[in-house]
Amino acid sequence: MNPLMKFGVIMLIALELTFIKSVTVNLVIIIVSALIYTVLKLRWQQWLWLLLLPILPGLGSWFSLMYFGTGDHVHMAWIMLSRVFAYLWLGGLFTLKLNDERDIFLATLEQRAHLSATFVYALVGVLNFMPAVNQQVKTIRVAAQMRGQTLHIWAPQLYFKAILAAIRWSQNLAEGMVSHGFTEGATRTHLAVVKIKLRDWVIAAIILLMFQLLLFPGWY
Amino acid sequence: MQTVSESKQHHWALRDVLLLAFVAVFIGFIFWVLGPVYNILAAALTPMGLAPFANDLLIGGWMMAAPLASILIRQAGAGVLGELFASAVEMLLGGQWGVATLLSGLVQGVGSEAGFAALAYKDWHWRGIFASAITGTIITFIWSLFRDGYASYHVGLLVALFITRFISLFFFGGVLVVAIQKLIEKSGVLHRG
Repeated sequence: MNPLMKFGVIMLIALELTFIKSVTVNLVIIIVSALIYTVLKLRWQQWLWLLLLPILPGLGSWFSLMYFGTGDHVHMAWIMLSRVFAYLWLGGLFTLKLNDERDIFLATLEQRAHLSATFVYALVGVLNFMPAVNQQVKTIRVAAQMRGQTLHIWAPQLYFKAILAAIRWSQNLAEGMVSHGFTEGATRTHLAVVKIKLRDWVIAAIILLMFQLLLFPGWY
Repeated sequence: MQTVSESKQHHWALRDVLLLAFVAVFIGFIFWVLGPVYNILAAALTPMGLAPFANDLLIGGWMMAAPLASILIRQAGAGVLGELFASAVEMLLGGQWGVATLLSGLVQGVGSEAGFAALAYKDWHWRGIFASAITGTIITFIWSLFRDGYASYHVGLLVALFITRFISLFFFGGVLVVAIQKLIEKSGVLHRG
């Protein structure tokens, strides 16, 4: 399935989950995701990540609602616990495969969703610079420590220096892009043209339809 | 020296978009470093049922990308876009909320930008910044009523959470952003033309 279509379906379901108060629906999402993951053959580290990550925020909400809730709060506590898992397991269907599908996802955004090339390439740049940004934040803090300053999270200098780096990098990248032939607002031709198959639309429609049917019985 | 385009049209210059994206990613990473602190805090508060306070105490930090993008680019939509970029980073780094991170990012961006919009996008200094902290608190709190199940809490806890969230946004999204803006203006790195 085209990654942008997949993304759209996942976002729609996630938005609906925010307003649906049903443990069953959340569990169905988790089980269906788990079935898809077994087909995708995840590494055991990824399974562990999926299992452990939601525990803390999930239990956090669960305890709070149990202690300080009003009305139907026990039900709500279970909803929140299952909802956190549903969000992450649903989102993992998109994010865990993104490394393989990144190029086609961005190409679809540009060619089929007609997002301005400026934004698409900003996204490309940012995705590829993420490791460098991580390193730069560490460098800023270490450099300050060498002068005997500790840049805490509440120190404006930390952000100021990060913004300086952002300014320099964005300028360099903009110049680099222009010198490689990028023209703002120009119509672009594409070596690889992305097409969304009719099959993808049908699958997306079926998934969304089935999800809506799931809501009718009004499960716990 | 970076020149930021001063056009009032709905045209996004390449260098503005790139600057906005990079600032958002930097903020995303700075607060990623803080992730363990949040986890420890949340874990410590969980048995007492007070874990939402960990979230509300730090939310200002996660939302800093929006006001920073607004004051740097000074254009309608900058706050929303900045926060969207930042939340995308958080999601890709493996945030605990999965895809819901993007939805929250959108809500937070709109919430923060509403403050600047309320002043007709004319004040990019402390008035605009503090207005964005206020609207950011209100709008994200409404979102939390649904997403985080806040609607089922006692009124007392809700008031305490609201105040906590406002303090967080007032500091990170207000006081800190004003201080950063002062540093930027004194250094003269941004030239508006």
